[in-house]
Amino acid sequence: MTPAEYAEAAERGRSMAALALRDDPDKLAQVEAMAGRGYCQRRYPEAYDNRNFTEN
Amino acid sequence: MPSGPFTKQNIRISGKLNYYLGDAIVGGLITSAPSGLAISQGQQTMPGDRIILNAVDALALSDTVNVTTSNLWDGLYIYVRTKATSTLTPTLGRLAFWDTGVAESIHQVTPDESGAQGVALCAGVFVSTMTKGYNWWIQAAGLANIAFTTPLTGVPTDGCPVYAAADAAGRADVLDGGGAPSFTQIGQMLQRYLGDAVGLPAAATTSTVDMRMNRMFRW
Repeated sequence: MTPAEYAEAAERGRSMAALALRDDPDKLAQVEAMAGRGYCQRRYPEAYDNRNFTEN
Repeated sequence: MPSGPFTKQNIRISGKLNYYLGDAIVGGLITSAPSGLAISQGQQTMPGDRIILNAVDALALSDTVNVTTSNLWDGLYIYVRTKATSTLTPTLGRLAFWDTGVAESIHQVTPDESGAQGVALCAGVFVSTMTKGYNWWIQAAGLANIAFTTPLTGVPTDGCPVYAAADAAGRADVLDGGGAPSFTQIGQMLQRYLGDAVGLPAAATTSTVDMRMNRMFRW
């Protein structure tokens, strides 16, 4: 894989995870428990669309 | 469509990566009216597409309710088609092999080790038990759950090299301490090397293996 292909694959993985989290509040809570809400809010902003956004 | 720095239309998956029978149609059947029509729902997932997950992404895409022993970890995953007429069923933890009987662009894999190549053309490991002929993601590199054969040829240790077992079941084996190999066996070890054990593998169980990216046959 070229660096560009690697970067695209990583972004697609991230966006796929973000969509999965947007559709699954229980899973989002599980991931927040693992990585922290601040990390999740920065990495998966799509998952917080239409939600109350809380900075920490 | 949500905003974001997407380089390609974002992927909406039909189920969790490790608990889904696969997409009957590339990209997944449409789920709104007219549901069930045998056309793709139009997402841009194509066989051969790759994603790279970090540990948090992998947890987000893991079904931890129905699959309690084989969650996903960091790694490279490829969207492939499975062979509809395979003998074995694509099963979580078993190896997937490239099917060279079809056009390469289809990116078709089979759980069978049949054919002239045997286990030489390993594509990765199934992360979900699937319906034959369906399309879904397999893991090609990174920390993966892989089933081990029984009995093991060598003595398993934490960190030992792991190879495709060629046991007609798509499982893995360890060879350390198994005796001096011939040149032919050395060649087979090069072909069959998957990665290194993470934890102590055991016969007839699923253990974690750190699969190497440079093992890949197709890019």
